[in-house]
Amino acid sequence: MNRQTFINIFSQEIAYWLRKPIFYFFCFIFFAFAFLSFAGAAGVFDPPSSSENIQEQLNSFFKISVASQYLTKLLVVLLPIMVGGSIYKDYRFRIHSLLYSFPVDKVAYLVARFLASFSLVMGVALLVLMAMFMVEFLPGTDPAVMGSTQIGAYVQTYLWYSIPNLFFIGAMVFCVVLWVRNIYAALIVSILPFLIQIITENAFVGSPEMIALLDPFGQNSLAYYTANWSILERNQSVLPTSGWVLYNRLFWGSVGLTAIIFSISRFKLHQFPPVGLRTFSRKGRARKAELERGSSEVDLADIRRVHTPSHYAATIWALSMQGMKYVVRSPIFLGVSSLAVLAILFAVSRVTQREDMVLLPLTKVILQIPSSFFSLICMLLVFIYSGLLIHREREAGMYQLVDTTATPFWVLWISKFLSMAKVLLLLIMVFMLTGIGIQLSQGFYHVEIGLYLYHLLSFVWIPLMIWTVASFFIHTLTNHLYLGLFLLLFGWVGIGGLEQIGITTHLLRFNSPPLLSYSDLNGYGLTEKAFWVVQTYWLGFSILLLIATHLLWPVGMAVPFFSRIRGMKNRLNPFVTGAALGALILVSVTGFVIYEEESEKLDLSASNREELFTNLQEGFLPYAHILPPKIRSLVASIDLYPGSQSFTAAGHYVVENPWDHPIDTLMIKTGFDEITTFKSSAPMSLIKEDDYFQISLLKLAIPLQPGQQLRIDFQIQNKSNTLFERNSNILENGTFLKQDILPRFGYTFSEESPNPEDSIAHKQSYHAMDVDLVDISLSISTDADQWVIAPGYLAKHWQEDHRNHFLYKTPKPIKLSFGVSSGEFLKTSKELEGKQVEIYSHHRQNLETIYKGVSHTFRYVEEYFGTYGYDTLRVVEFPDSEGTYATAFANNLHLSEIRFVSNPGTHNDKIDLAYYVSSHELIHHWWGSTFIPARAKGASMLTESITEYLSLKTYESYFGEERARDFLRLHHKRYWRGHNNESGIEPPLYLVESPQQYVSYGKGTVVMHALSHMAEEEAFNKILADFYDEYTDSHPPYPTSLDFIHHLETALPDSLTSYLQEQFMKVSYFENEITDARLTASQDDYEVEVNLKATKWELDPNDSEKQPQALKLDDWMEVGFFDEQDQLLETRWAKISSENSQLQFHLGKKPFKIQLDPHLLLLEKKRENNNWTLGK
Amino acid sequence: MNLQIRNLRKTYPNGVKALSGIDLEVKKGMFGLLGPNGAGKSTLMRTIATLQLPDEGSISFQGIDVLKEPLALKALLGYLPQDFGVYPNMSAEALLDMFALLKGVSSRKERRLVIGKVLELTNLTEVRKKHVSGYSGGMKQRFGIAQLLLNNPSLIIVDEPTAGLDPAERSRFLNVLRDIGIENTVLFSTHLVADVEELCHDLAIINSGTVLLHDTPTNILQGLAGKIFSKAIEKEDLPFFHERFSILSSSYNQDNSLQIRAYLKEESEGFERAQPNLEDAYFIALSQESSTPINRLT
Repeated sequence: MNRQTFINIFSQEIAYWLRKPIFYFFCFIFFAFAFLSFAGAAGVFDPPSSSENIQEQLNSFFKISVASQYLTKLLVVLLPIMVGGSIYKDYRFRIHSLLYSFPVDKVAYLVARFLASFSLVMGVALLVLMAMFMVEFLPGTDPAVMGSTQIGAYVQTYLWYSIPNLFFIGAMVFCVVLWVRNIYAALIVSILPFLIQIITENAFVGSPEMIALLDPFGQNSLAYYTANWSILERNQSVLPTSGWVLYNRLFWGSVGLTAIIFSISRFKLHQFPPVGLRTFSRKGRARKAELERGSSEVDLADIRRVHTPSHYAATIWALSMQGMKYVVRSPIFLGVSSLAVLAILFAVSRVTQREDMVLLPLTKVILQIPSSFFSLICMLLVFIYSGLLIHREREAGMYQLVDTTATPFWVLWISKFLSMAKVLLLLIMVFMLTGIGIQLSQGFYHVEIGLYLYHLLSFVWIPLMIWTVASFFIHTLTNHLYLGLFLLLFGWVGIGGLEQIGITTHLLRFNSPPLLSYSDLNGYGLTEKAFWVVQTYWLGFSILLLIATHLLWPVGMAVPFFSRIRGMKNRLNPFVTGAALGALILVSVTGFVIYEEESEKLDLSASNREELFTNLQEGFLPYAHILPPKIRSLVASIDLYPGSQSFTAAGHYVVENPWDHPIDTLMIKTGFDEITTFKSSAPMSLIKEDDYFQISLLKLAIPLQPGQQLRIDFQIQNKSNTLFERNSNILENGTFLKQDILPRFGYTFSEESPNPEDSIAHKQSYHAMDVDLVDISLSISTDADQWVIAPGYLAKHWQEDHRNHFLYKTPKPIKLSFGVSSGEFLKTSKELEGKQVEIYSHHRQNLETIYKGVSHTFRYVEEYFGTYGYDTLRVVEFPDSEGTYATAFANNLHLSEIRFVSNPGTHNDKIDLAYYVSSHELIHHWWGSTFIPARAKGASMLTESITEYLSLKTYESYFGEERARDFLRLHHKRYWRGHNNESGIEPPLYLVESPQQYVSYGKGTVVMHALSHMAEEEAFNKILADFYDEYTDSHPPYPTSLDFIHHLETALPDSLTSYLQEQFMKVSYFENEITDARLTASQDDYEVEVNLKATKWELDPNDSEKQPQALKLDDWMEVGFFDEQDQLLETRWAKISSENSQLQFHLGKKPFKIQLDPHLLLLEKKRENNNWTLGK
Repeated sequence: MNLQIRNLRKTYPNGVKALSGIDLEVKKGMFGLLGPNGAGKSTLMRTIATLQLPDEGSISFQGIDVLKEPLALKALLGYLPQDFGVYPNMSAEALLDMFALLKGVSSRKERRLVIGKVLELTNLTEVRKKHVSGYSGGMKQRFGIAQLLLNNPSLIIVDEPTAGLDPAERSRFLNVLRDIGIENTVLFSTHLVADVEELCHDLAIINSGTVLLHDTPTNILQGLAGKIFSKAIEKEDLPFFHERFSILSSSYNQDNSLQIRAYLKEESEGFERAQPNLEDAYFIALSQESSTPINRLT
């Protein structure tokens, strides 16, 4: 390589860019974007937060890297422009033939061009980090999210991510431009890494190492190590630089380097490219009939030439077909769209496979894909190809020929616009066919073509068309492909960020309609109308943009911006002015509607909400100690109107003073989304009220004496829906109305439940302070074609005034919580274990599984906890829009739609959700509805942990030990995920509260299962049954978690006492590892020596930022021995009391593999090192 | 119905005066527009072809006010710019089909007929299925003529079409042009005097955006009769002759002596009378405009 040539070309290239204003524009945009977005994240634009929990620090190594990796992805747009451009400009300005005729040193020329342009991009990347660095010193950043400044964080991310990522993509871009001499190929090549990332993330779901290795951006190689980091670790640790992170960087770096070396060595300084980039035209196949013979007789003057609107229309159509073919036949387009199809295939597994379950490939599930990345790919293709179409004649040098034909210029731009519309339609059709193909290939034949077409055309194509308009406008305005592309990309990113800086109105967020949610029961519901109103507004805006495009469209030599501006007035004609006026009216009218509807919505900012809550607390907390009366009965009639999505209800409570002192003050809280009026049988006067939280404090003229009753009548109606906010719980189909519409008594806004040690804890039940159990009678009416399900038995059903009427009565008192479902249901029923089981659903899938789950649960649970309390059990489906959960009210199980559409049997390591959920909810009849814990911390251990343990056992009774272990493994995962993301203090089990499900469900199930394993299932269940029997009178005193632990301590052997203490009262976990194992065989004896390293950690109960402390080891651990077929031969217990232990076992059969804790009894951070293969 | 250009003025934003008051009337037949590079030929032609707007002035053709009704003119116009490209990877046939559509040939059958005809006229029938982007220079220029003919134009503007063509291609191209120039108004710009000599019935010489001379070749040659002289001199003596005579051009003889051509009012010693040609007229016009002596080796 000639050094002088290198230096000359290098400095010439640097100087070239430094002279160009656009380079400074890029620098400015990236700097400003990084600065603003980082400052926004750092809370510069927000009021200071008051949270005491630890928060993720933005300037930790981890967060700096995450933020800079994201910004580096944006920087990719510079690579085709600068690195690709460094070579392409020689071709573009046709100086390559001149340049290549000089005795230039090829290697010096190419290396200098690459390094110079790459260094400039790296300079911009450095600016981005500098912007972030400067934010650290900005006044007004939230100190909770800013730790101490660490320069190393910036250096590390720059060296490990910014440079390698941009190098690899830059190298690809450079090589492509070198070979095909086409800058557009470079644009597309820079999209490929994004696709590769999506595809590998989905294709190698089971092998995180492959994902870590093959992610071109290295994000997954980092995630491989950091995914399980706790917030504390994320804040304090330096990022890993070895292992998969290193392999990944080396792999992609060497791919880039190899490509460059290969290309440079093979490249020849020839005038013509070694390979051409051809479109796939069907050469050789005569597309038209042979030329007319005897054309010499044709007189050119005889040919008709017309310049009529219909001819223009035909021309637009023909040109748009040609434009579409131009796009579709380009190999780059074909490449990207085939990769997109491939990505759809993988994305399907992502949307159908959740961590714990697999969904059926329903049409609505497949349709979730476009909203994520498929639309994104289409949008990027729009940005690029609309630019290429617009500049096509100019790029080819043909515009003078075209612009002097007697065709108005608007025919051209409209035809190009139509081309893009058709290309998008084609992509959407490809998507649809791929989706249908996936459904059929999975043996799922319920293909909803109508839904496909409606959804894709309305909710995917129209937003993309609005982007197409924006793209046409920007490309026409700038008349510069890269500049246009750059503005569009940043516009898109910027619009996405508007909400973050507090701009929430749809009037300013371009083409950002409200998110749609679809339910098979209820369609798109309210979201659809909002979508159309917002999109009509943006369609109107798009018409204005199209008119601007029309006015600015360059014709002939009138390309400079100001000459086009001057020419605009000549293009205004009555049609254009009329269209503009019409669009303005459309925008104004829809804009006004949106404005009005948005101001209807009480848009409460965080600080506003805090203020309201403070007001409430100041006004009402002083009365919180007043014990409310208890509701003894409820009679109500509810009229549902699905058509108008409204309801009215009227009814009364009988309340009683259960305490030993008179009650003279009543606090009543009415439904938040309802308008409620009430009156009582005794005179009351209002002391104060809070309009927002709907709470009133009333003075009883005559105090309610102990044992005395009072009747309170109420009338309720829903607030009506606004365009953007649903206030009514009534749906057109699948209404799921709950007890929260009713007025209730007492102060329910206390943040914390009392501790179980607290003396008042036993007095109230965990579900409500104003009621124990209550008789409920509900008379409900609905549309004639809908059926209503409510708790209790259907006492009466009749039709009146073309409406269906139902009277439901509970046969015995229940908790005051109920669900009323109304919809068009498919009803099936079965007699199971002596009970009538009915399923009311929309979906027909999984019904048998639900019956099985219910039946097996009856069988398993009734043995220990007594017969089910009702002779009829109903399972009812409700739409996804109401939630994806499941719940039980009296003899009804309400299951979300998603629970009906799981796809069991395809993956054994996932849960059969329909089975599990119906079992879990049914068990709540015993644990939660009959056994009711006290309102104290730890209550959800008594309900959820025990229920989940029993459903695990029911599951095992049918699916066997292995699948139950998979189920248990998910609980381990659930616990660790929650543990890692806990920003506050993780409670021990006995203090767990309902939001901390990772403890109540995750850890709780693990601990209950371990106890059952150690004490034997039968014995442990009997211990549970004894405790259950002790507390099923459903009256105070209610049991607390401490009662349960005492019960266990008494019932279980003394050897388990310290285990109980540690598992229930502390937060501890293990880090265990088999470090070595040896097998010595002699005749029938196999001696196994195992070296074990074990540590037990305890979290500080008061300080979440304190490092865990090692606890003294004195624990029993199970060691499992497996044969070659991975069958468990036997397990042995070992007492571990020091960090390093050597264990010896004598076995009768030859083991192949050893596993520590094979039954998943211990909470261990990392289980991969629990195994040791002894070999043959 | 002639093409009439009145007081056409155009100054570019960078201050270059491309047209400074052009008045020109172009009649039916071949009209040659001669001028050096940068004379304003292309600006004039693009302005007539409605690709750009003048600052001042008017253009009319067959009663059409070109600046006000550009589409009406375009219906009658055939335009071949100085340099053009086409969509890559498209055959002549497919491209012509597109141009025919743009030029208003609505019927598919008639498009086929007219394409066949123009391909035949330009002798491209054999290569009609080949990509135009792969054509040789001459073929590409003939393709330019083919597309130009599709709307049977009555005003044809061709901007320096013979630049870069080899002699055979040039002659073939000019023949095509000659054929179509009989019935139509053809405005033909070049800086090669020989092109004009062969083809045109009328010509104008322009430079710096003004018309220096507008006449028929015959008149021009007649006007120069007896005023063009030639002499063989030594190379070193050229400055001497430049000082005393208006030298139009000079060329080397076989023996390395210089043959000079001069524009003289009367015969001078040592000069021989020579047959005037259009090149002489061209240089006379340019030298009178710039009033600087011409010193050119051809």
